Amino acid sequence: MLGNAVYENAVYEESGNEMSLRRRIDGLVFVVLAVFYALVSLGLEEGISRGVVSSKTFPLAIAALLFFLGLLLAIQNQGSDHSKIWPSKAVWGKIFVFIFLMVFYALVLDYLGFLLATTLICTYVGVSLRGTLVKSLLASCLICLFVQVLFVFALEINLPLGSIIDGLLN
Amino acid sequence: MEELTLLWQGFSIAFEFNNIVIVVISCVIGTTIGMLPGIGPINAIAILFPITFSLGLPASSVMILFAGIYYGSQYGNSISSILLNVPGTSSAAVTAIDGHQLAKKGQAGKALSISAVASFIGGIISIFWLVIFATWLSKLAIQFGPAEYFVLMIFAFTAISSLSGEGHLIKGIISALLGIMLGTVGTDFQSGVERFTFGTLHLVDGVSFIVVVIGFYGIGEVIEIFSQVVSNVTKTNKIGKILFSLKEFKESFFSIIRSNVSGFFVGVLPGAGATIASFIAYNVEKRLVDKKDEFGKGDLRAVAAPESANNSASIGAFIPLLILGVPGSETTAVMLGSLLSFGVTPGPLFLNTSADIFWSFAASMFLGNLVLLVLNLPLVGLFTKILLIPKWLLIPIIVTLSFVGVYSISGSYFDILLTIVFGVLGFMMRRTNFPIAPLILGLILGNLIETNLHRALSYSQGSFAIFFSTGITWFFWALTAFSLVLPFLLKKFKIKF
Repeated sequence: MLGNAVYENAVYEESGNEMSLRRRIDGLVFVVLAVFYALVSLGLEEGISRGVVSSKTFPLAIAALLFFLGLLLAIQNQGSDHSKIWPSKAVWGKIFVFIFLMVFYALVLDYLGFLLATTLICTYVGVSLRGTLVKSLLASCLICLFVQVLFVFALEINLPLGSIIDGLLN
Repeated sequence: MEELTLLWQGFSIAFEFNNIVIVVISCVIGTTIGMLPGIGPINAIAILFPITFSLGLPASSVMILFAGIYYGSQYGNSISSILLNVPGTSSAAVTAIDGHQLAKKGQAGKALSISAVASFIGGIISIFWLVIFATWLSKLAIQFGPAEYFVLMIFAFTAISSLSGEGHLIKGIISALLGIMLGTVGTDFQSGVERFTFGTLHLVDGVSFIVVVIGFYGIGEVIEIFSQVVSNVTKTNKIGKILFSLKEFKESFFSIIRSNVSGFFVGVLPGAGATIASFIAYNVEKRLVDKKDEFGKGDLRAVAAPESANNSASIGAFIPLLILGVPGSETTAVMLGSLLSFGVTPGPLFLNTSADIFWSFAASMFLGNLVLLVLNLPLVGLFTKILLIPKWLLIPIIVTLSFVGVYSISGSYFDILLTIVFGVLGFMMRRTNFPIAPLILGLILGNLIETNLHRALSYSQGSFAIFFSTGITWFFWALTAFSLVLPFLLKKFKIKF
């Protein structure tokens, strides 16, 4: 089954060197983010006069602090970080597929409609988490139908029906 | 006396039929959520938040609903801790030590009932503390100007960063900075300048609080669970005799009372919260009453003390939230964001401007704790069945409610994409041990910090001396310094939480 693969060799314990390297990467990511944030802040307009604090003062102060802490994180040599458990490559693969499907879901929501799009992604999640295809599909259909009815009739909020169902209805 | 009259008026609102129904529903949701490992009250509040908007509930009812989920989850936590040795959140980890030992001896019923009664007593007494201290503190808080607020918020950031970062202060502060950065996206109301919108209209009004919360706590949690090796729960211990004896209750009574006092005041401190409260209560009781070295082997007092403390702390956490407008924990941070979305601004004037909300909220907690006691004693067997809900069924429900919640507010696919981005970020932060609570605090308080900084410097004509000009500012600078040193002290004395 698709889901069972997720749980085989799902995690491994990192060595001290790997943890240290990852902490350095974390730190450098924040240094780069701080520089980017500062550059965008410098390009901001002044706007209406605000006295001693302009629209860019506060963001620049935040960027400076983030830069400093990012550097500190990168150069710090701290022993324990509790981040020993890290998903294996196989699990990362499944996570990327899941994230890709969620992005795809957002992009096609208006076209496929809430009912169809959500049923499909929920079925994928259910199967990935060790549910059988039939059970997951059935449960997803029921959940989505319940939510659609709840939102449309009880809360009076319209969820997109989608071009396909719209076309069928018309 | 005036407080009692106001509390009485609060009861008249809390006992309206709608609010009674909300209290019962919130207690059931809270207990259920509290039992499920990995999913806490914050996830439930994040997911339910858009629905409360759609239902058109008044702010007082939303407050009652979210508070019920919050303290209800403390009750629920104990069930999975005792029966399965799987604490729903870290605050119930201490309960699991002796609670699960009792369960293994076939005395789970006793452990569950003493935990329910201890939570009830702790909760009820804490409501009185809340009423007394909220009134007193609100009189003090009126003296706060922009400089005092600025320093208070700096303290809240350092406190929550230092205590929620699993001993890693830098990561906690970085997380808070990320939240502040997210808060700067959109139109700056002081200058009218659009900041960090990158030309897209979707970001002109800023990043929606709901999108951030559902992203980090809804979708982030889903990806986290998706990535974990899940061992299905198929076996639970026998519950055994439901009630403890009168002698056992007498033995536990003073542990409950002592833990209530320490738990409440620890809960008031920003960043401390229920986890530290329960650890402190356990350690204090171990030193005071454990003469035969029974703690750790299945002692009812070791279950009663942390349960009283963590429920008291969860009520104590409402003091900084409501009276100072500064949340002390991630759940109260989300509640603050929700209240602001409903046009209710917690702070020193909250008791004057929103007296009905405060007093009905306090009164509803009496009712809520009673409902929880009634639910937890006879229905505990039924609740344990919820532990058997498989992940393949539970997670799709969370996914659906998360996406539909975001879509119902904005009707925009862009916000769903943003939710996914925040979900991925939330997952990465969990994996790399960056605490999420400071980020949420940063998002909510970032704008307030900037506004107060601006105001204070305008009053002082640019002089930073204003931030050291009063006793209150010095008091909070001292607390800030202490909170920065605290992680190193905890490490030195080998205290983990």
